[in-house]
Amino acid sequence: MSSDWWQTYRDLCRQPLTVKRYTGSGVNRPSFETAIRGNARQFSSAELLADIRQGDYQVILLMEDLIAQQFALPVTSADKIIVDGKEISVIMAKMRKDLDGNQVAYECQCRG
Amino acid sequence: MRMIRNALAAVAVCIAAAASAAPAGLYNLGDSAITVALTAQVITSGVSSQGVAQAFISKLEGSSAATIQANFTYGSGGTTLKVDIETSLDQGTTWVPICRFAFTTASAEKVANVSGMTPKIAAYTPVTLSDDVCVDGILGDRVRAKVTSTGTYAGNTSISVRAAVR
Repeated sequence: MSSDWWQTYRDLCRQPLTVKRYTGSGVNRPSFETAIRGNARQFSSAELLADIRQGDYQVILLMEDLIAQQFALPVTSADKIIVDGKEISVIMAKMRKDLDGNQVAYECQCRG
Repeated sequence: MRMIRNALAAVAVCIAAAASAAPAGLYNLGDSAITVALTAQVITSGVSSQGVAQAFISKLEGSSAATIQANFTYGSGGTTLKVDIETSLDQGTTWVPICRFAFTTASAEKVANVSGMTPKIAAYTPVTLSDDVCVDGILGDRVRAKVTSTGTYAGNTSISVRAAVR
């Protein structure tokens, strides 16, 4: 992970975020939170296409933090992300890879 | 000028040492909903440095201790549930049980601390542990949790296992 592209993601992901994973069902189901660096922003009006709705977030999660925290990958649509204390749901998570094939980040569309 | 350079070099050495230290922190050894009877089911999901899924938490070399918690949430049904915490000293070829938490038909939280710094002078042969027993003094570079249950649990019965490593 040494290309400029990866460095760009690293520079972008400076916001403290929390990825939360629930297991099972019911109100008392277990969950685990992992604090990582990332970037969360709401989609602009020009980006509201297809299934992207007003108020949806684009969240970028830095892969190296997920790996360091041993967060079981992949990030899926069952996961939640806490942004500024608000828990939002992952609608879609897309893996971004570097030119050399190394995993760099997850780009997620989130709602909630 | 030389003093400043030496001081900066010392700071750099400290930062490098901190960066290469064992990754202290809280790790998820597994969350699992419990239904049908399980036999030695590994519930840990970790990830390798290449981002590949693996059934253990790794890169714990250099860690001196781990406080382990097993939190059992009971719904209904079932008979017994055992959670075995295992570590490996040969990169996962064989696993050494270091803790066993036993549960039945009531919600319970059980915690234990194991240290890799405790001297173990008499040779130890890994065995299946008795209920609620831990073996101190053995801590490898990876850990995992295994679940064995009898009877069929229902009603959102679940087990979650955590390890605070330092």
